[in-house]
Amino acid sequence: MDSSEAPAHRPVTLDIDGADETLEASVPPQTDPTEESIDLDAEAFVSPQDDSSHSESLVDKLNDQMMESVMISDSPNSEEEDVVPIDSLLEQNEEEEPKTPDDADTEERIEDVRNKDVSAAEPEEASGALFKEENEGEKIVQVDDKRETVAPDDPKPEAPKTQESALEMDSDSTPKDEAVPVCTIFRQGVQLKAQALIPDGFQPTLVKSPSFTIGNTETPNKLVPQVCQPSPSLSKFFTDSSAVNPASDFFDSFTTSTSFVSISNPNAESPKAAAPPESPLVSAPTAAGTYFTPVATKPQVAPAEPMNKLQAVFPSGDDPFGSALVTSDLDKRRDAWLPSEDTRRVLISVATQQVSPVQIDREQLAMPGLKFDNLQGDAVKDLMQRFLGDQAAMKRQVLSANSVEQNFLGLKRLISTKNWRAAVDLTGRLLTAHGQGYGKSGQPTNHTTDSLQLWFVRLALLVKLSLFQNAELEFEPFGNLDHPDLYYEYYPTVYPGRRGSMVPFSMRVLHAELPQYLQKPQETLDRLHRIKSVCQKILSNLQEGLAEDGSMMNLTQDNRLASIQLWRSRLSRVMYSMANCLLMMKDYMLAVETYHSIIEYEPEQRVQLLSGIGRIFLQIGDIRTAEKYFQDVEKGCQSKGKTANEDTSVLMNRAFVYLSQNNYADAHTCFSSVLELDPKNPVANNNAAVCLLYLGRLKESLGQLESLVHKDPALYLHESVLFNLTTMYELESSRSTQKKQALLEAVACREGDSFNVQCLKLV
Amino acid sequence: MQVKGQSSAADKMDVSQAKQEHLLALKVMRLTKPTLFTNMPVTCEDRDLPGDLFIRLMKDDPSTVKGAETLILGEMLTLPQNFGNIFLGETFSSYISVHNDSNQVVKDILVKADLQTSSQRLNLSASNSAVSELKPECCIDDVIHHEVKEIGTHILVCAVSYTTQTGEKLYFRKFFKFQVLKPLDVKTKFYNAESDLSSVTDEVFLEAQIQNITTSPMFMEKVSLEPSMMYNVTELNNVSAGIESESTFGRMSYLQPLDTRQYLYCLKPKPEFAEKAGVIKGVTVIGKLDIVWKTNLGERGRLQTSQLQRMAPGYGDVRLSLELIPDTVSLEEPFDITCKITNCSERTMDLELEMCNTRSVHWCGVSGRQLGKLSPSASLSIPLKLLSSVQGLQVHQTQTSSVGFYHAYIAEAKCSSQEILFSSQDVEMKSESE
Repeated sequence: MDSSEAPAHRPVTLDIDGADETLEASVPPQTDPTEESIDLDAEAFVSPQDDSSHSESLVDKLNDQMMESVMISDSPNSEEEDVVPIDSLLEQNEEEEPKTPDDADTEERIEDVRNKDVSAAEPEEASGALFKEENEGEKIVQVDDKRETVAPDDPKPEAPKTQESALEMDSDSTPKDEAVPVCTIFRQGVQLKAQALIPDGFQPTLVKSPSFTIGNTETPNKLVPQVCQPSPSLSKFFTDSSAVNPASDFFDSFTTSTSFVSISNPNAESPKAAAPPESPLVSAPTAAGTYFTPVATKPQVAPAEPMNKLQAVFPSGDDPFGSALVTSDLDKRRDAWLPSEDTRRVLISVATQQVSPVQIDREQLAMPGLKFDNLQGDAVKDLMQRFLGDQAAMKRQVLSANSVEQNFLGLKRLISTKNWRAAVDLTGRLLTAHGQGYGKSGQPTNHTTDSLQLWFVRLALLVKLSLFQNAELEFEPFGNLDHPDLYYEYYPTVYPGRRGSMVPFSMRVLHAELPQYLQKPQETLDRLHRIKSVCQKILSNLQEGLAEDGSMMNLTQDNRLASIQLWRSRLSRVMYSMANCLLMMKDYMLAVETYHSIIEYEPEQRVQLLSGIGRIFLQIGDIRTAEKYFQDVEKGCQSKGKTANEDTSVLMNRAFVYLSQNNYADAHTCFSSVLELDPKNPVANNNAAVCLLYLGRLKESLGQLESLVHKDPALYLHESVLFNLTTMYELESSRSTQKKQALLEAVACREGDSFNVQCLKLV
Repeated sequence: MQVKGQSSAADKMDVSQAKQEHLLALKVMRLTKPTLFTNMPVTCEDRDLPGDLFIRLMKDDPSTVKGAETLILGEMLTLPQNFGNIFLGETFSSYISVHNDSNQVVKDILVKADLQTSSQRLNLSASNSAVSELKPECCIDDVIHHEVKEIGTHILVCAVSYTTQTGEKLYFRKFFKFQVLKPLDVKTKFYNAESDLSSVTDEVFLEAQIQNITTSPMFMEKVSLEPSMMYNVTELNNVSAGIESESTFGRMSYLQPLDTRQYLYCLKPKPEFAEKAGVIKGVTVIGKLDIVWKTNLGERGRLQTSQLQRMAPGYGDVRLSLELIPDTVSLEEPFDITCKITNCSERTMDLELEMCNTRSVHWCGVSGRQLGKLSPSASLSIPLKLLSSVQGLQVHQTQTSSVGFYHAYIAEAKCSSQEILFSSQDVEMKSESE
C-alpha cells in the first residue's frame, strides 16, 4: 500500500461544529461578517478504521452532550409532540362522559388524563411561538428575572458562566484526532433526533396546521376509545330484537318518519318500534319475490327517492315509469364498480341462484357496528364554563342530536349548522335502529343504500372532526369495501335488477384518504391507486362502447357521455387525493406532477392549480420555479383579456413571491390591491395583517384583524384567523386572556360543537 | 415532596407579583416565516346523503382555494406556531414589544436587546435612544435581525429601563435561550487526474457530499467552489444538451431531510502554478465551498466552508509516466512504448532498469541496464519494447520501487479475436541516490 495515496482518496469531513473555531485560530469567523466558516478537518492521516475506533470511545461522551443540548434547547417541538396526543386524548375523553357510574375504570382514566394535561399545559405554553421565558434556576444565566431597582446593568457576573458552559461543550472535540469522529457522530445525533422530531418551521404548513394537530401523533394503544360504552338504553333495547329479527326488518325504515321517531328516541322503549313492518316501503325478503314484475321497480328504487324530493334536483315527471327509469340510469352510472374476482364469483352465483346468501361464509361479509357511542360534547361550552362561569355557559345553545328530527333532515340540519358531533351521534342512533349499533360488529347484517350512506356520513364527519382513530376503528369491518354483501347483486330480492356497489364512491375515497392522517400515507396511496385503476378501466369500457362494468349493454349516447363525464370527474377527485397525500408526504416532485395532470381533467381549475404548484415551490424555497408557474397564470389571465393587475390570483401570487424575498412591504401592497378589487376577500385581509406584523406594526395589524372579526364574523371566525389574532394578543400585552375570552364569546354565538377551540389558545 | 411543591408555588407567586409591579410588559416572538394553512377536504357527490352540504361547507370556509376546494394547500397565512429550529447561517428575526400595561404615562423608556453567544455579545437593537414617553395601552415595537454565525446556546437578553410618574427609575431584564444547530454535513474527497500522456495536466477533481441534516426540505440555491489563487475551477454539475444545460440532479431542486447530494468540480492549476514536478508539494489550499439554501417561503441560509486543503500526490523521489503507448497491439508481436522518468528529489540519481516479466506480458531487451545519472527535476525518456502473449484487455502497471507510486492505465478495447488489446507489465525501477 502506498501511504501517500490515502489522503487523496479518503473522504475528508468538514466540520461545522462551532467547537473547532478554537482549533483554527487562523480562520476567525469574524473576518467576514456575512459568512460563516466551516473548518476543514485537517486530520487526514487517520485511516477510516481508526475513525471508528475513536468514535466508539467518544460515543458516550458525545451522546451525553447531545442529550444535554436537546434538553437545554428551547426547541419546543419535542414538547409539543408530547402534548398533542394528550390534548386530543383529553378532548375525546371529555366528550364521552361515562354513562354508567359503576364504570370506575373509565372514570379513573379520565382523571388520569386530566392530570397529565395539567402537567402538560406548561410545556405547551412554551411551545408557543412566544419564547419561553427563562426563570430562576437556570443553569447558564443565573441572573434572575426579578425586578432590580435602578439599573445595575452588570453583565459581567454572568458572562464567565456562559463562557464556562461553552467551553464544556468544546472540550469534547478539541483534540485533533477526535475531530473526525465528532463530526460523524454529531451527524448521527441529528439523524436520531430527526426521527423523533419535530416539525420545524416548514413542517407545520403541511402537517401541523391547527386542524391537523389532533390525532397526528396519537398512539393507537392509548387511543382506542374504550372509554365509550353503549348507552344502556339503546344497546339493551336492540340486542335481543336483532337476534330474533334480522336487520332486514329495518330495511329503509328511516326514510319514513313513522318508524324512526320511535326507534331513535331512547325514551320510547316500546318494543313495537323495533319491528315496524307496517311501513309501506319496507320490503320483507319473503314478499320481495312478487316484485319481479317491471311495475315493481318503483318501490325498489324508492330508497333514493325521498332524497330526490328533498333536494328537488331531479325532475320527477308525471309518468312514474319514466322517472323510475331516469333514476335507474343515474343509479347504474353512479353505482358502477368492478368487484374483485372472488367477489364477482360470489355475486354471479347469487344471481344465478346457485348459492343463497345464507350459505356464504361469514368471513366474506362486511359486518359493521358502532365501536363507540355518544360523542356528545361541546368544547366551546366547556371552555365557557371554565373561563366565563356557568351562567355564561348556560347561554350557549347548540343543536344536539335530541333537538332535531330523528331522520335525514335532522342530520342535514346538524351538519349545516356545524354541529358535527351531534350529527355523529344521530348517525349512531339511526344505525342502531338499523341493527348495526354498538357491539353489532361481527354480526351478520343486511346493508341498504341508506345504511351505507349513514355510515359514509358518520365516518366523513369523524374525519372532519379529526377523530381519525375512531374512524379507522369503525371502517375496519368494511375491509376493502369489496365484500359481496356490499353489492346490490347480493340482494336480488330486495333490489331486483339493480347492479353495482352500494358503497358510495365518496366513501371509497374517504376510506383511502384516512390512513394518511394516521401516519400511513403509503396505505393511502395504495388504496387510491386501486380506485384510480378501476376508474380508468370503467372509462375505457365506456370508450369502447361497453357498459361501465364491461358488459355488452347498449347505452344511449347521452347516457354514455354523462357517464364518461361522471367517471372523469371521479378520476380527477382521486388524483387530487393522491396529490394531496404526496404533498403531505413531502414528495413534492410527484405531487407537482400529479396536480399538473389534473389540469387536463379540470381545465377550469387551471389558474388555481398552477398557483398552488407555485406555492408548493415557494414552500420548498425554490422561488425561481415558483415564479415560472406564476407567469403561466399571468399569461392565462392576459389571454382572457384581463390585465394582470385586475386579477386577484395574479396579485396574490405576486404577494407570495415578495413575501419569499423578505419584502413584506411590497407583499402588503399586493394584498392591499387585492382588497381594492375584492374588499371582502378574507385571505387578503388576513395576509395583509400578517405582513403588518412582520413590518413591526403590531397595533395596526391587530386592529385590522379585530375589526374584521367583529364586522364579519361569518368569514373571519375561522381557526386560522383566530389563531393569528390570539398569537398577536399574546405578543401585545399581559392581558391576552381577557381578549381571548371575548373571542370565545363571539365564537359561542355562532359556531357549532365542532369548533376547534385550540386556536383560541386559552388552555 | 410536598414542601418542595409548595415552595415552587410560592416562587411562582413571587414572580407574578413582581411582574404586576412593573408598569411595562416585554414580549418577544421569533418571526420565522409564516406558513400556509392547509385544509382537509372531505367531499361527497350530489346524490349522496349530505347532498351539496359538504361542498357548501368547504366553499364557505375562508381558507379553501375558491374554485379548487379539494386542493389542500391554501393561501391563508398563519403566524409561526412555535419557536422551531434555527440553523447556523440562517437569520434570526424576532419581534420585541414593550407594552404599557398600567394606566399612567411612563417616561424615558430604553429597550436594549443583546445576543449573548458562547464567544461574544452583540447589540441587536435598531436604535439605542430612549423613547421619551409611553402612554397607557401603547407599545414600543422593534423587529431585530441577526445572521447566526455560531453553533450552540444563544441567549437573547432584553433589558428595559424606564421612569415612572413619581420619578422612580425602574429596570428589568428577560432572557430567552435557544440552540443553534448545524444544518449541513459536508464531506469532500479529492481525485488526482493524469490523463494526458504528453504533458502531465495535474487536474484535481473535488467531490463534495452535502447532506441536509435538518428536518425540512432544503432548496439548494447555490453550491459553488471558490478556488484559491492557484487554481481555475470548472463546475461539473450540469449536463449541457444544446443550448440548455440541465442540472445533474434533474428537476429535483431540493434536498429532503437526510438526503445527500454530490457535487463535482474540476480544478486546474493556473499555468504559472502548473504542478511541475515537485512545485506543488504537500498540503495545498484548493479553495472553499459557498453554499446558499432556502427553506420555507424563502427562509435563507448561507454557509462557507473553511479553506479546503489537499495533499498533493506525493511522487516520492522518482516519478514514472508513460509518454507513448499504442491502444491496440497484435498478439505475439513486439511493440514500443516510451516511458518518462523524472527525478522529483533534491538530489542527483543514478538509475538502473530492471525488467520483470508477468505471465502475459514480456519485455524485449536487456534487464539490469544502467540508465545513467539524472539531476534534480530532470527527466529522461526511455523507449522500450514489449510483447504480449495473451489476448484481451490488459492492465498495465508500472511501479517505482522507492516510494510506492501507483499509476494505472487502461486502454480501449477493440474486439477482433486476433488482436491483443493491450498488455500489462511490471517495470521495476531501482534508484540509487548519491
